[in-house]
Amino acid sequence: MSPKVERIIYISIIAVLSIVLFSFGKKEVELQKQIPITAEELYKKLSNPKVTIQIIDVRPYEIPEEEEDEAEEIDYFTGAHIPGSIPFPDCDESKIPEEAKDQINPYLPTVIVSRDGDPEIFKKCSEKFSMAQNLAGGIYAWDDEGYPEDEGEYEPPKAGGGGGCL
Amino acid sequence: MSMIERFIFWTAILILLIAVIGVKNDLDNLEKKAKEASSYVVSTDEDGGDEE
Repeated sequence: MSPKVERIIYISIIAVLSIVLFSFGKKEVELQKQIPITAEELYKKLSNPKVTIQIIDVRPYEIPEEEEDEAEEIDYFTGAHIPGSIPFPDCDESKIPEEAKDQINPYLPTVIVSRDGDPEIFKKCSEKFSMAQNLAGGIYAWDDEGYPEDEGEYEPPKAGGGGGCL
Repeated sequence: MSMIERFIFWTAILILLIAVIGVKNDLDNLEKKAKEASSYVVSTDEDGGDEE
């Protein structure tokens, strides 16, 4: 076999394997989106400083005055939220609080937090992030497990970055 | 074609093969989890429907 032909064969094998690896990687990202993350798994990830993860909270930011008496604190970001989470109400750019606008990074691994982990809201929001997972059971599941929560207005992290640490 | 060149090609092929096998195993596990997750969603939906 001539060296030229041999070289072409090797390069073809490498090219085919690279394409297979790339398509598997793409499929893996797609599958990751379908699997919700549990509150326990999220807590473990957030407890690990080596893991970079962004938490996006899609619940309404504040309790409207007219609903103040009836609304539960857990239904709103300012009432209770996962520490480090970034408010992105209804995944609508126009509703993001001013101080949170520059904090959202669409290329970071992201967990979407809604009230009860509604797959419809997640579907709408996941299109805005390259790697997104739904929090199964939403903030209710996080609250039921008794994991730490913050309350009050969003405060951007002093060192910058996407937030998401306990 | 020199032996060194051949060795480099084979090393690259082996590394890619190992990566493909590793990612394939991950994919199988993820597919299993995705199936479990979707069946969980279906069953909880059915439960909710019963309650109503």
